[in-house]
Amino acid sequence: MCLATPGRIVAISRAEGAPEAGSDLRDHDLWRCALVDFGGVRQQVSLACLPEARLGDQVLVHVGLALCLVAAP
Amino acid sequence: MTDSAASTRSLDGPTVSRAAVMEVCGGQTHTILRWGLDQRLPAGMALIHGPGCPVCVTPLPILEAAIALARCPEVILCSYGDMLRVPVPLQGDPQQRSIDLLSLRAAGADVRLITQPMQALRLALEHRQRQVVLLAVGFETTAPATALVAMQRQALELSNLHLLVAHVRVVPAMASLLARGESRLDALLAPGHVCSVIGLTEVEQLAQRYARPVVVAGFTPTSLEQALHLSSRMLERGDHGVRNAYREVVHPNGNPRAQALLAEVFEPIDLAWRGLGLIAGGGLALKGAYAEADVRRSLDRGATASAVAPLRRLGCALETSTEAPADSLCRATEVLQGRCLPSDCPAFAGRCRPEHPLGAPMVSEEGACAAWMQYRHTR
Repeated sequence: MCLATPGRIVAISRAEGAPEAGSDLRDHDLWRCALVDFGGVRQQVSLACLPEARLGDQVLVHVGLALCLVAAP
Repeated sequence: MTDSAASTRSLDGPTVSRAAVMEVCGGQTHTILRWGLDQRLPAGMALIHGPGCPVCVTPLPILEAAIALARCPEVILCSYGDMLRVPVPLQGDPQQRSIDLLSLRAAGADVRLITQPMQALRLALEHRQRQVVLLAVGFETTAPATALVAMQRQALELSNLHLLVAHVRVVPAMASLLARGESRLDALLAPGHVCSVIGLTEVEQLAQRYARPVVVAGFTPTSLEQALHLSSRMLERGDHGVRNAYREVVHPNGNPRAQALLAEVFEPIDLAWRGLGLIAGGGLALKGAYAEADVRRSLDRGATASAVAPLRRLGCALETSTEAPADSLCRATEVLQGRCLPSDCPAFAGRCRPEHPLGAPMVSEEGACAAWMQYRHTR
């Protein structure tokens, strides 16, 4: 469960089933999502903990939540 | 191919006299055994497998509660794959049989395998007439995702989603192992991904308090070799403190957003880990307004919240045992404490195998017994 493989963000969106966007920034972060490409397998993940994440970034994902940006080697 | 390069090079750390180093994380145990790193250690260094396997340490009463809930026809119970296979002893069964969530599913219960907690949220949205229970386990790597779902649940006022929480905290467990001193530990490898969330402060305090070298390690053979080399050097010099051998991922401050999510939704509690006993501050419980989502707390207290009324009407009694009636052969407890190797267990590879496990460390992909079975057992 503590293992994770890095994936690349290919799209950024709002989570399915999210309520209408409010003006509250924190609320916005709660539902921010990305489509992440893990070597060909693409998965929807939450970006709630990585507000700085942008398209093309490499991220480590734990059970559907991106938790860190991976620095370029 | 950095991995294969690492496997053919010898670990040329300086020689230290007789030092026990524990890799806390089960994921690291698997890498170590797979690449044979334990057979190429600096002379006098021995590795001890730690309890960093969430499936292995999830308390039995939580699993019994999950079984009881899954038996209720209106309940959809969901959890991660390994959790569904952990054998739970049947109370008072003269033949000492056990049951697991997957076999309940085969008997007709609605048990779902999920890979992320947001799927439980989606199930609750899709099945408003059913009661969805998420059995949420894991260390600080998976707890933020559960916290996020608890907040989303509240924002959506999704009263048919319930949480059965068994999240655990890794640093209190490391402290407990060092404080007991049953198996002398000279240095620790800290789990890199947990540190990427919590940062280095807590780990630094631990290293200072117990005057031990603690090296934050990644999960590839190269990263682990580097961490072992660093610990060996620190031991030789008599240093203590924290070194970070996983800088590309672990920032000293961790992930502040994830920490904020955890602080918003959870509070630390003392928790009896399976195999290790009570660990001060070793668990997380839902707090404040989020406690309404806690299926156990709600049912135990007989809360009046309408959210749990459907579950109580179903008679989802949560009578759970306090003592684990462990299989007489299984030595999972000692394996988890680093007091014996999986191969020392009389049931290993005989009565206990991945296909029919007796203890949780044989079930989980992060369990030490499963790692030995996969990489060290020869017929």
